[in-house]
Amino acid sequence: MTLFDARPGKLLRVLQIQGGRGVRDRLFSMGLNIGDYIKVIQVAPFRGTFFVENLTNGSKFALGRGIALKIIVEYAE
Amino acid sequence: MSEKRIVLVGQPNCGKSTLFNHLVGFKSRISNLPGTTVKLEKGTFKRGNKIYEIVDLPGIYSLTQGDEAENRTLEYLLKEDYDIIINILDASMLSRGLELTLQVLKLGKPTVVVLNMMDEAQRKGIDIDTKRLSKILKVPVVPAIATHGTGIKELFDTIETQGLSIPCFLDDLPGNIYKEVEKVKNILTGCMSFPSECAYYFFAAKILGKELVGSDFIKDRTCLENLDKQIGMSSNALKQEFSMESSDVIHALRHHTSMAIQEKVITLKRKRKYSISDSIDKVVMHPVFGYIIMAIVYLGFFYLTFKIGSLIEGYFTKPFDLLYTQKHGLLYSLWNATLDGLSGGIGIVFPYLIPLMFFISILEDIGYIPRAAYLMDTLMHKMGLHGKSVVPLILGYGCNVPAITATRIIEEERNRVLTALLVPFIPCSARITVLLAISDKLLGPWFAAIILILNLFVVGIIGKILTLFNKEYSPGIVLEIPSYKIPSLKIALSKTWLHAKEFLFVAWPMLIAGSMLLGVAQFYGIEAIINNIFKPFTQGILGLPHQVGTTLLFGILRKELTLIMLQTAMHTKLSQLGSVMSNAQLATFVVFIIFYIPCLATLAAIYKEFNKKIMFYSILLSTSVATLLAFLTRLLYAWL
Repeated sequence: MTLFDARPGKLLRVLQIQGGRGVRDRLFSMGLNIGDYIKVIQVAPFRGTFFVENLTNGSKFALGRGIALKIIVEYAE
Repeated sequence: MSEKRIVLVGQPNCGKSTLFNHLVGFKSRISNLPGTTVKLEKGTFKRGNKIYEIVDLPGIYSLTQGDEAENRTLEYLLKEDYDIIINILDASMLSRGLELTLQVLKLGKPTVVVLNMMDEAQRKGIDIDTKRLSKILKVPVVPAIATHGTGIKELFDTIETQGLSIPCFLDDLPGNIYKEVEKVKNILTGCMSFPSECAYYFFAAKILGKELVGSDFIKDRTCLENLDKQIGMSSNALKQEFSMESSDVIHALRHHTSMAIQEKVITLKRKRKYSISDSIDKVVMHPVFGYIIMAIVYLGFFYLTFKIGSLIEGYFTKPFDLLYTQKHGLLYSLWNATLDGLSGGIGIVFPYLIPLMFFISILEDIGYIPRAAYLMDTLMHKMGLHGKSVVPLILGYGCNVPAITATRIIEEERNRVLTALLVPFIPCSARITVLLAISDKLLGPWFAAIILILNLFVVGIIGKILTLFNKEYSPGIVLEIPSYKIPSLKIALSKTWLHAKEFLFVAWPMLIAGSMLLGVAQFYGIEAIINNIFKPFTQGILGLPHQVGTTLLFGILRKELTLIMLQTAMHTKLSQLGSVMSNAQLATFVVFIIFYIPCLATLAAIYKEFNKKIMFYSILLSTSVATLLAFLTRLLYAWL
């Protein structure tokens, strides 16, 4: 499933990041890598932006809906 | 005395600017990297009899070709002349920072690694063995807490006493990858010249990893052909061995090497389950409370700024009143006009702009701005932009000039241009003073409130319309949300000063020049001619008294002066304006002033940051919007 479909608060593992080099490179270098354990902390109202924490390195991000659709995850609990 | 040039390299939010501020403080100068809009802060740091020039490069996550800031930083590091690199890492996010470090350590320059935010790492229960890290990286590693200034002494002791050797970290290119990289490197040695052997490896790995485009740096055709051929062969070799694209191989190895180093040097004490930052975020980022807090912050920040401003404004402008002369003559008019310009600037900068910029700096320092960008992202996305555009728009309430500069944080050129076109619609402190004065004395406080709220809608609608004409798929925001920090007064003040400087040195001289021009025009009675030229517009379309023609024209030079000019033009005092102009006329006038052509200084900033075309777009757009809205105001009042 994509990050977009994941339930907030659940522990997730990143399986794959789709999309062009631009988006992938950006996410990789900002510290969101394949295999990382992440969690959706909050979703802004009106099907909005995702507030995500990467538990592997402690970084936190705001990710747009389009980006969330490109991140393939699985439940890790 | 020798002056060494030190560059600061680090990822965003690693505390690089905090360290820079500690070293350089108020003496920093902002300059653009040649031919670009990427900003660079420089300053000198004296220690004993040694002088260092410190260059703060933009925060970047990786030395990859990407957005403007990344490209220019990379170019700077490869081509410019400097002596030492200080690479700053957020110790609480070691492995991510190390990914950049592993690249920096291939540049072939003497490097010191600073592990910043050791206190934050401690709080997270992370212990770092800096000696071991130093041994692995083969460069000095200095722990620091930049917000407190700890570690700076040790850092410069290290720089001065240890002869810094030139590092060359290649452990993230093991076995066959090293062989392929070396093949590429061998071609490069004949094509480019770097001061050190290691930089060739850096470059070769970058090209093989498709993180750099060779043709951007190499012009020789035979070289490029050979290079392409070798890259093709090496990519295939890597693809076969790893069953991954070569670009992914290089990156994945760097990531794994960083993770492996982190594992070797850190010990996790008890994992802290409860963090203050997290609990604050439960409220601040909440889908309901988050917006309530944002509204309180927004209103509170206006209320405080203008409360403070109106209280102290008089102290700044009063002394000037004594200097005005009643005598007639061109020189006297010029003298008075110059005083107008001087006091106008001081009357805005000190009471309004500085407090506003100070509050914004504090919000920035705490880490609230990226959170506001998150909260606003959905809305901005509906407008075809994204949350990062919120930052320059907020700054615009202070002064549009630094706001235009602040569009630099937006990576996509399209979004940057669109945001810059929206910025002039945000009423700056000069225009807000006009709005508040007329509302306070004549139209009632509700008028100001309605206009400020309507203004937000108008900005939204213009944004929506602009993006309709500029459709482009934008995947959305990727923005780091740093943990909260306790703001430092020193840093907030020096940031405020940096923003205020842009007003003082860009906007203010224009204000004074504009004022003098107006003085001359008034002296020679050119006003009447101007008023007549604009009569069809001012009287015909907007239904205003024809005397306001000059006011509007010269308002482009100095927006906050429009009120004073209006009083001069109508030969009456502010409180008596109601007797010569109807409420409909006053409202139409205010609406027009708020939206029409950005002031000359803002136009100059747009021209400097973008080009002539964008500047003309801005003029055209703002004039049409202002005319339309002012006309609607006129109709609305007629209907009421």
